[in-house]
Parts: sequence; C-alpha cells; structure tokens
Amino acid sequence: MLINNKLFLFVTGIFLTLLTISSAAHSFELHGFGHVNFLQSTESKKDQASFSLGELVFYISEKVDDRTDILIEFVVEPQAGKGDFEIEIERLQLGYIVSNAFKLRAGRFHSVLGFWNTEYHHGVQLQTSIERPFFLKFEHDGGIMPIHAVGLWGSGGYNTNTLNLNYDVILANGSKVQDGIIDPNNYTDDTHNKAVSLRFAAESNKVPGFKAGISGNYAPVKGFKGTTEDFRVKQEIMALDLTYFRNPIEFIGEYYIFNAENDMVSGENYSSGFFYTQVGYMIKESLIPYARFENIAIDLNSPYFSAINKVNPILNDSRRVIAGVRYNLSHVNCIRAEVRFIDNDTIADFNEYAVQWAVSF
Amino acid sequence: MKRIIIGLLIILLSYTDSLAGDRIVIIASHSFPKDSLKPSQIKEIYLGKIEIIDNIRIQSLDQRDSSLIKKDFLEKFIDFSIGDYKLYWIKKVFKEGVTPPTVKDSSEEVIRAIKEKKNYIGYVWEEEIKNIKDVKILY
Repeated sequence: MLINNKLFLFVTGIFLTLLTISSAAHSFELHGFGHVNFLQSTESKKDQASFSLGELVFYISEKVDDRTDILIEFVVEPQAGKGDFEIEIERLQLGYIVSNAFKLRAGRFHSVLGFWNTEYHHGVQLQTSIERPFFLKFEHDGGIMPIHAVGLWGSGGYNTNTLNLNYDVILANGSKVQDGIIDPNNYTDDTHNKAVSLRFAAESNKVPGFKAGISGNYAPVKGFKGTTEDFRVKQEIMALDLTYFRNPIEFIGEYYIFNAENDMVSGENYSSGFFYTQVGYMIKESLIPYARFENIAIDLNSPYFSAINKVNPILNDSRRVIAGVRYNLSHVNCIRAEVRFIDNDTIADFNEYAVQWAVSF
Repeated sequence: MKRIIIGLLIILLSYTDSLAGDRIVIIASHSFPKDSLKPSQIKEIYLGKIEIIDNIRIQSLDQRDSSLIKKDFLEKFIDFSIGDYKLYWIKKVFKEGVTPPTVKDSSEEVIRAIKEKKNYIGYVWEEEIKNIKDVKILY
C-alpha cells in the first residue's frame, strides 16, 4: 500500500498530531527498526562501494478495549537510484480475542507462509543475518511470494503436556501480478475466489527450542500488463520449516514448492522449488558467526514467474552462500558483516561484501 | 573514611540480601477469577500465551528492568534473562500485534493498580504485602 511522496507531509502531520493527542490523553508506545548499510559488490553494474539507509520501520500496538487490539506498521523506504523515499502502510490489523485458542483479526497483515516471513518480516534487527533469503524478498523489491494479505486471519494455540501447537488460517483477496510486481490487492479482488492460507506449527516441550511448521497458500492469480489481462493461474504454495533456537545454537531450514496450473492454456502445469538453510553459533552471549546456503530453481515457463522475471530478474538456477558474523552491542542493537558468493547459470558469478548496523527501538 | 565506606557497603549488601532472600509472591485483587495459579500458568500469562481466564482478559504487571525483583522473578518463573525477555516481547508485539505486560515503577504501584482492577496480576516481595488485606496471593 504505497503512499506517494506528496502525501508524506500529510501522513507525517497526522501521525505526529496523533502522537501529541495520545500523549496527553492516553499514552502509547511507538516502536520501530532502523539500519544503515555498507555494500561492495563485484557484479559488473554495481561495483562501487556504497553506504545506504535501510528501511525505517514504525509500529504501534495497542489495546482498543478489553478484547480488541490494533496494530499499525508503516515503513519509510529509500528508493534506490531516485534519491527519494516512499511510505508504505505495511500492516493495519484489528484483532479480537475470543479465547486463548482463537483470535480473529481483520485488515492487512503478513501472510502466514514459512518461518522467516512470519518471524522477522521488516524487523531487520531481529534476524541474525543482514539480508533475508533472496527468494523471500518483499513484493515491491522484486519478490516472488505473496508476503502480505488483506482479509481475515484466525489464529490460536493449544498446549498439551508435550506439545505447544499453534495454527493460523487466512481468508484474503487473492494477489495479482501487475506489470511484473505482485500486488496483494489492497482495495479490491480481481478474482471471484479468495486466497486461503494455512499454517500449523508445533514445539516440543521435550526438545526445548525445536519448532516445526507446515504452511500453504491456495489462490487464483491474475497477471496484468497495464489493464490487459496477461495470464491466469491457479497457484498452490507449500512450505516446510524446521528451526532450532537454543543457546548457543541456532538453525533454520525452509523449503518451498510452487505449483501452478495455467487457467488460460489447458493442461499446462508448472512446478518450482527453493530452499535455504542457516546455522549460527553464539559465543559469549554477543558474537554469532553464521552461514547460509540458498538455492532457487524456477520454471520460467510459468507465466507468473516469467512476468516477474521481466521486470526484476530472478537470477534463476542460482545458489548463494553467505558467511557472516554478528556482534550484539545489546539485545536491541547489533553490527553485522557478511560476504555473499552468488553462483548462477545466467550471468557471471559475483560476490558481495556487506556491513550493517541495525537497531530496534 | 575507608571504614565508613565498608560499613555502608555492608549495610547495603545486607539490605539487598534480605530482599533477595525474601519470597516473590504473585498477587491479584480478591475479585480475580482464580484463587491460585501454577508456576506454569504464571509463565504462560507473562509470555502472553494465556490471555483469558474464566472469560476475563488478564493484564499482567511488570516491574522496572533495573529492579532486583524483576531479575529474580524472570529467573524463577520464566527462565529468561531480562534481555531475553525484552527481546521475546519485541518479537511477539511486532509479530502478533499484542500488548506486553504493563511496567510499574515499584511494588507499591503494582499493589495500588491491583486493588483497582480485578483482571490485573503482579509480583511483589511477600514482605511488601504483610499488612495489606485487599489483595490475595495466587502463588
């Protein structure tokens, strides 16, 4: 949900006014994330070393009344190459708690696919590494996954003696691909069928720190070039995630499968898969060396991926190895340095060297 | 001068020790829907996993990060350090859009708030509620 720059002062003004009013009548806390980057790349078109501002994230979470909560999150995002920035309302969700086993939310929220997407999202300081796995990029950064949804979201948990179980169910507008960019359809749904997402996760009390999750998304997706319909597919996304976080070890592994059936050309089906695995080891509560391997193999005959690839090249059939180290100045403040080796079958291999200072506030 | 400083330190340490040796109790008003809680329930309430008890939304009260009682409470009931607890709530609030425990400046403030709201629970030193009749001990 992008806000153009002309609205920036207006939105900021309203926000600051709300802050002022609220601080007088009913206090709430504004939180956020911010980071500053340095990147040197050996990729031919990006060989100059650069400092850059990362996203500036603000969020507020408050009780509206005894049973109702509201969460508002917006991001001020520098626009690469434009010397400009955009504001995007990432989430606006109202939640009503019915019981410990069921909470209903409405609005715009994160999709429930996978671990990284649900756990860290725009909270860059929370993740161990500098960057997300590259197939989990946000929609407007050339991402290939529906990361946001607009609709209804039910969630809850149940504890047994041995397991802590959690579930999420989403009924939302199906996303579309508009001129090569995934759009979660904030204002209207262009298909009659809604997108359905599910996630189940289990933690074992007998193996503290271990968590397994399975999630899926089914949606009809249309693609548009301008106002002309370009393609129509029925898409299934399935994901499996396994994580282990227990000092000093951390492990994350996620595997995604995208299956699609072409709705305009009978009998055409497509399947793509990608995964990553990341390990880290904490030394003396503050230093975490980490490494990650990512793999992406996409069927570019799929009109869905083909449309995205034309605007933001996906770097298909590529592998990325990352090695880095994170130093925690405190629980909410860290500095990280990492090197990335990108090996792919379409362009020359290249390396990246990055440093980032990230905070939560 | 040296003796005075050592003497003051001994007094300070003995005072701190007396607090540290005291028992932490979990308290609520007499209108709170339960008369007792298990340690596992206290942990789940303070981690936001139990929000509703007998159809009433529970509000947990915390104390300042710098207080000795918070450090002791987190070690004994939650099995978290203050830093881990802080990070847990940053993640939970950001991920789910919930509200964390409300922080009060002192045990006195915790007791005062609990007297006013039937859905509040908090932790104080047992010594601090010796002569207070408007609250009950849940654990």
